[in-house]
Amino acid sequence: MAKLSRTPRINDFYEQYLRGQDQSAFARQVADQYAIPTLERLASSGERMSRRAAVFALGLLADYESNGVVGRALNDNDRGVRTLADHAIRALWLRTGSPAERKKLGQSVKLNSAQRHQEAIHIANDLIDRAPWLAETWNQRAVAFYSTGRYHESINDCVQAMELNPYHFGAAAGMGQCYLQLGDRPAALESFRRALRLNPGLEGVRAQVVYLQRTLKEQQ
Amino acid sequence: MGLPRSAIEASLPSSVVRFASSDFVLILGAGINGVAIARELLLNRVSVRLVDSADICFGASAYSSRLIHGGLRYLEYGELDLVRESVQERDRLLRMAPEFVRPLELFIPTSNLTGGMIGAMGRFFGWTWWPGVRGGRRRGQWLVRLGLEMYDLYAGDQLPRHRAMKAGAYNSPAVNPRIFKSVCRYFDAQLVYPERFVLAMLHDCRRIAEDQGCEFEVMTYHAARLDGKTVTLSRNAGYPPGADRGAVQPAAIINATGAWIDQTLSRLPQPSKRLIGGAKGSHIFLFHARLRELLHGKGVYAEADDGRPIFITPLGDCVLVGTTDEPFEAAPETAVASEQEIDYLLRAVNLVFPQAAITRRDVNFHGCGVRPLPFADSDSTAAITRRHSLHRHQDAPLPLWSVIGGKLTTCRSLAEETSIKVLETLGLPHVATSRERRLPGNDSQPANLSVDWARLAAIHGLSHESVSHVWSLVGTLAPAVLAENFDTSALLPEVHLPERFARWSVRNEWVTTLDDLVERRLMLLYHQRLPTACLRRLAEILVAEGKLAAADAEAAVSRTQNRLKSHYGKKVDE
Repeated sequence: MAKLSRTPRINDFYEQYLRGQDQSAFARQVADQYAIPTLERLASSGERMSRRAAVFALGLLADYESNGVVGRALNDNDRGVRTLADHAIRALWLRTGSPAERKKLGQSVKLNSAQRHQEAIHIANDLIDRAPWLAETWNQRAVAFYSTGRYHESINDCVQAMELNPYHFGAAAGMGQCYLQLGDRPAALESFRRALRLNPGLEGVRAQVVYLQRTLKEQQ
Repeated sequence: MGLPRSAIEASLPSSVVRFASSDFVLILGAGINGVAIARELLLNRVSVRLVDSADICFGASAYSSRLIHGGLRYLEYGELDLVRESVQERDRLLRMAPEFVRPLELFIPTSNLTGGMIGAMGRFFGWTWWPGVRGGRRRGQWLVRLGLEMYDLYAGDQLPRHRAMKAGAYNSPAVNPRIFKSVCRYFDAQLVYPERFVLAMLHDCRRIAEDQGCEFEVMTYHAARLDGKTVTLSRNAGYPPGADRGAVQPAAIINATGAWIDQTLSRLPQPSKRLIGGAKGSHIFLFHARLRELLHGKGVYAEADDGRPIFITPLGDCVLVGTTDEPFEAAPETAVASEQEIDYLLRAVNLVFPQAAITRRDVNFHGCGVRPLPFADSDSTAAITRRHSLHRHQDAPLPLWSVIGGKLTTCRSLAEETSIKVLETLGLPHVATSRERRLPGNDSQPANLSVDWARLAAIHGLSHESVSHVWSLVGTLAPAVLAENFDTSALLPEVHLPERFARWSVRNEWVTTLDDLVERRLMLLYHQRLPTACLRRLAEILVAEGKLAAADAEAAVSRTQNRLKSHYGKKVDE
């Protein structure tokens, strides 16, 4: 009698991927065999390798609906899962809304990375009017505001993004940067700590927290 | 799927009315409630005949503030169930009819912190003796935030929660900084053209009837008289002869004629106590570039000088301001906004936006409808419940109900409740609801709308503007509507709407008169300039489609001109 394998098949797919780095083959294999709810279950309660594989797969296949599961994986006790979750969740944030909305959101991201912040604000305004429930639009507008020195407006939008998406460590960190620019170091520290609570893998933010804690203590 | 109908019928107690497959339910009133009920019944495989003494959406449905809202104000009167139901329906509409129902960011300007707290407490608990219970004092930020906090509790997570911000915050309406120090922002939704929404439901009714093998017929400009169990449906005098059905025997009648409910009952005739205590509400519509700029595309929920709430919202290319609230006893169709009401609304706008300096001349047109509120001995119409109810006339020779109250937001849930009662009485199973059914014209969109519009414009030789205009009226049905094989790419004079759309509407949307076409199909009131040439062209189309005698065309044009002027204060340009 053949010995029953107790490891989920996704582990094999993941090992194949690690050997060959063929991401699309991995996505195809997983999509054939697994439904999103199963991946979500594995991501939160599988053993270490399965969690890694499932979080990686969710980042490729799932949409914003899986935000909570991947958001909690940011605090997994395995470093590998945490790193994969950090990548995955950023992709999920953009996979939201109707096709037209998703496209617009993508445009605002591109405009921001091309430093065309005014245009990004314009697109984000449009999209916010149309679908105010999309957290990432508010975050993109916050990025554009920050980059154009409009820190108060940026903070407002960060708050909005975090309210809609409680796992949005990016908005929390962005808010911290705004407070730093405004010279409000206690508020900045608070925001950075919040970002770190959501995603302990943010090394840059950790350094900021350490630095701010020290300088604030020295002042006292 | 379930038991076959015969098996269900066999197991029924003899008290219920037997419903044969050839039977139908007669719905009086083709407003949003009547049509929503028709849709719900058809989904449950019940044939429906929808009759209105005037046109589709002739009454209050067309004269609302066009908000799909959870009913923030109902909180003050402690109507928490109504708020819960409304919020649920609002979120459902945002999902099921995204082309018609859009989120709207609303701002409540506040001038102090504590205003109005005491009075609101009295209203919440229904204490009429409590000081300040009649309102009057401007609501302060604490009261507004308390309300919004409760509102958020019910609102679920589809729309963002409320926020308080300083007046003049980014992208917020530029309210008068001398009076208002802060604003509270919250989200609700807007239905720009309820008329087009109702027509979309009717298109859906037609589609469902075909799928289910039921009968569905719409008869506008018909009166109903009840004699024993027989109803005579006759075309109104003065209208071109239509589908005169003579005597019919419906299995049940639903009276959803809104403000006309008592009148409908007395004409049937069906003795009844008085059900409706109408309150008229007026809106004004402004085309004012500066005001639109100050609004930043958002809505404002402010208070007039007497403390009553007033909405100032962008609507298409214009700005809607409303509403007033006055008891109204005369025939509902005669309700017109009075000069006092218009002045009152203008004062309210100028209080919030003095920079815009709005005058009477900026009012492009006005509208006035009568709310079908339940009859009550209350001196404040605002305090009468906005909850809908169903009244069964027990002494009628056949099952007869009157639908009292209701509002745009809850039309679907009202229809569901009503149809459950009707089906139960007729001994029929309740097998389907419209909860997760998308409206025609609200299919999921292509990823790039503007490319799609450009493609449509190129195919049909139309401008981008014309295509987006048609899209705003029929949503994703636009490609199919424009593709109908008409031989012209001409536009209606001045309004940039393709003639082929008007012709499609005349053929498919139960148009009888020129007024129907102008007011409730093509939504031409909402164009700043409406020239006589456009009305003439539409009359020609009606003639060509056999809806109007050529000899009567000129008379129809001048009749429409007169109605636009006297009813809406809309000037038709030569």
